[in-house]
Amino acid sequence: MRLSENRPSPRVRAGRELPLSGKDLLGLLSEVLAKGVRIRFRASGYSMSPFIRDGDVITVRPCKKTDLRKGAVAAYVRPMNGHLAVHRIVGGTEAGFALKGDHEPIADYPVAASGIIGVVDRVERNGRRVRLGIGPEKGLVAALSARGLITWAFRAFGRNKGSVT
Amino acid sequence: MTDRTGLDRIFKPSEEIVAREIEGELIIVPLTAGIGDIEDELFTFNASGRAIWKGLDGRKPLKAIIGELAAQFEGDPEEIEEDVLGLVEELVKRRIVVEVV
Repeated sequence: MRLSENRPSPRVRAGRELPLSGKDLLGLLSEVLAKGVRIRFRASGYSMSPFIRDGDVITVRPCKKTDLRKGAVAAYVRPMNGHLAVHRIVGGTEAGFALKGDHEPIADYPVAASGIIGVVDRVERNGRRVRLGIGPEKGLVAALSARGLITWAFRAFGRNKGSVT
Repeated sequence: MTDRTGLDRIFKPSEEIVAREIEGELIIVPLTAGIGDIEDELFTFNASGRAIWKGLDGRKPLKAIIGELAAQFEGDPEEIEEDVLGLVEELVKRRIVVEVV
C-alpha cells in the first residue's frame, strides 16, 4: 500500500452522515460535557414533542446543581437501560429527579443528580431558534407535562395544530 | 523551552478536541468556541491520514513517524515526508494538534 495514493487530509463531516448509535452519542456527549464545553447535535424521537421534535438540533451544556430545577430539559442516562435520554424535570423526591418526555404518558424511573449530564439550552428547527418550552415558561410546561396536559394545552391554545402525533 | 525545528518537532492531540473511534472510524470533534458541534463539524481521516494521526502521540518526533511510515508503506520517503508535513500543518491550522514544547 502506498501512503500517498490517497492524500492524507482530515475530512469535515456532519454528524447526520455518520452511523452514530445512542451509545456512541452518549459517549461523545459525556466526554465533551466533561470538558466543560457545550455540545450541539440532532435529536431523534418524538418523546419531547412538540417542544423538541424529531430532527431538531439541540445544544446541551454542562449543568450545575442549581440548573436542575422543575422545567429544565435534561440529558441523562436512563437508570433502566443506561441509554441516553433528553426529557424534562417534572418533579423530584429523595429517590431522585422525575424526568418525563412531554409526549410520554409517564415519568422515567427516578434519576440521581449524578445521572444527569447536561441541560438543553438551545433548540433549532429548520435553521431557526425555537424558544418555547425552555424559557421562563418551562415551570408551567413541567406542571402541564406532569399531568399529561401538553397535548390538550396545545390544542386549546391553537398552537402547532396537528403537530402532536 | 526546547529548541526544535523541522522534523525534530513533536505534536500531540490538542486539549480542544474529543477523539473517539466509532464503528471503526476515528471521529474528531473540535471544541473550538466553547462548543462541540457534532451536527455540522466533525473530522474523519482517510486511511493514510489515520496512519499519520496514530504517530502524533506527543512522544515521537516527526522524523520517527516518517521513518515508521516509510517502513510500513511503499513509496518515495520524500513523498511520505511531504504528506506528513502537509497533514500536520493542516491539523495545526485547525487546532486539532499542538506542538509539544
